[in-house]
Amino acid sequence: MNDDFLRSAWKRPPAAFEQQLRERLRQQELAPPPSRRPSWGLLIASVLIGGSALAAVTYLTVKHFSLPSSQTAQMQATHEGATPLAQVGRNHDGATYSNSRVRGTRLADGEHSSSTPSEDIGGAANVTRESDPSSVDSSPVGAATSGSMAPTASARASNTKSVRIALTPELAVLAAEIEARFSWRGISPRTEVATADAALQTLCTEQTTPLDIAIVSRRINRFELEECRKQGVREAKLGHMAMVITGAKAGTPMKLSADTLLRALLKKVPSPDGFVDNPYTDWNQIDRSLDPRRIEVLGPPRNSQHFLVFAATILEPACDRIRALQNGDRETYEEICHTLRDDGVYREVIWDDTFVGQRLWAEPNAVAVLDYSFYSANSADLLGSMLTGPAPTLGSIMDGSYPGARTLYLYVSKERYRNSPTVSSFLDDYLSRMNNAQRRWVISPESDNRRRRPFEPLPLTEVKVE
Amino acid sequence: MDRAMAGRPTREVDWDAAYRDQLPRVYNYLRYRIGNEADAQELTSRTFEKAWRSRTLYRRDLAGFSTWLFTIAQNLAIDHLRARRPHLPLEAALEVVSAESPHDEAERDSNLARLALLMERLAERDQEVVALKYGADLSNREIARLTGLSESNVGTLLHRAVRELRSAWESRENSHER
Repeated sequence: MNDDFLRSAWKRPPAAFEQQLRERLRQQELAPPPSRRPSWGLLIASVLIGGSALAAVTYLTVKHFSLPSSQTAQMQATHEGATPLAQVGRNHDGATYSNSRVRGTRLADGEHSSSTPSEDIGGAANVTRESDPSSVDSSPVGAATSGSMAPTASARASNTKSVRIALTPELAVLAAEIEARFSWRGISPRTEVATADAALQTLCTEQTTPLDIAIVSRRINRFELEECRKQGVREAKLGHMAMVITGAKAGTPMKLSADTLLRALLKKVPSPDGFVDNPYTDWNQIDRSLDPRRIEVLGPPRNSQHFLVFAATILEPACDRIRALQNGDRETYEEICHTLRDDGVYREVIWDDTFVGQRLWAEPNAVAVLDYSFYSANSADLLGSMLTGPAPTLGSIMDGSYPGARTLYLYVSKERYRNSPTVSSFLDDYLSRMNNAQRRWVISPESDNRRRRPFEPLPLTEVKVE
Repeated sequence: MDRAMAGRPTREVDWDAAYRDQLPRVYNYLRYRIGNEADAQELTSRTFEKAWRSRTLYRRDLAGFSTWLFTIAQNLAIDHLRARRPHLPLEAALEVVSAESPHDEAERDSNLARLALLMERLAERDQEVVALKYGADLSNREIARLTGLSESNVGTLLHRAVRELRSAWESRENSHER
């Protein structure tokens, strides 16, 4: 590539300028530098994380020596071969992500179907995390996956001790925690990732290998509840997940709606001529009341669990609200809603202890997408919520008024809860106390006592028809 | 860099080395980006002063020092460009290219002015990538990290932008020869 003409303009800074600047910096050196303020939130978080890690290592060591070697090997094989729960397909048309909106997926009945066709826009549809390594999907990122939900011979033999649990993709991070917590007690939790639709439908359908529990990020709807009448279903509120839109403390405050944020990030946006490549470069092009400020969003990596939470709490509800996105068939809608622009407007970042003090400080005009726990630990150094509506507090998240949060529900088949001691003991234990691993993801300030009695009959009148 | 960091304990930056290594790169990045000598000097000073004032905030465990410095420079450049708009009309390029000087220094300045006007034809993102590549002398990987683009995307953008700039550059030269 002949680029000499470009290099010809390069020159060293003038000596006088260089000297002058050096002198100015030297003069500043005489003044004491600003000291780094200790962040107590970070210290506490570090202690908690360190403690959890130590506990996990101790637990894994104990488990390793207490399990028969064959089982240990099997578990290792499962974890080594597991597909990342959040997957991304990147191509020239933009970066797509897969999430709970997986079309047409349905958990398979163990006896009737040995493989479930999975349809997914972004990549992963159903991901099985069973003890059987042969059923673990290890397809490459972005490839369509198909996970068999059929139980293995060993799983069938020990069926009385296994609990089959389905989780929606944004909650899939809880799967490892559930498996680790219960495996050593002789209970074999078999976790599967599926859409809320598929999980609830399977929970309410008679199957040879019944689904015992569904953990989902939306409430059951009336139609599903009616289907469940025969089996009976009980509901527990597990907690909440929330994401916060914020920025550097030095930045200018700005209020963004979730719809505006979505329009800023989608690869294609609606226009009078149909869907066009996203032309927005400044916030005020989307909403005239906003500042003429360049759109820059720093958020979690697209292949991370946090991104799925961001999608589930903020992007998808906005997609559902924007009518213009629904001018077309379902497939187009899904594709448009799940394809974010890849032109550098959305930048993937890691929230470490230098993110706020260093990265955001250097980019005061950027909008940051954080999870609630990181935000609350660093809120003193952040701008506050940029999302329109109430500020994110435990109160506003709990009462549902904060728009960037979702409530998590656990549903269990009433019949299985009554008749299977394994299911009932699993649930009693799981709901009675929340460990640190869970607290990292689930916001639940409710007292343990309240969560211990979750199985009130679900009144139909409370459930909205969707 | 980060030669400035080599052999140093965490969070400690050798400012002399940093200054020596990074000053020409930041300065030229801003020259290519802004297209104006005086503004580039002013913004270079502000970049270094800002970094210097906040040197205790910098922690090397996140990213290279140069990445941090260029992030500061990028933001200052964006604010500056935003305040400066609207740009000069493109036709002004015709007048600038004819102002040639026999001296090397003057020629380089002339090249910069000419380049700046041609750069304005490019999209903002392409201008940024070109300035980071040829002004800051960063690798495609470093540019990708700074801009949030993929490395291959940076390569494609650069190839396209350079081809476009070269064709405009050569067509002006040819018209002058004739």
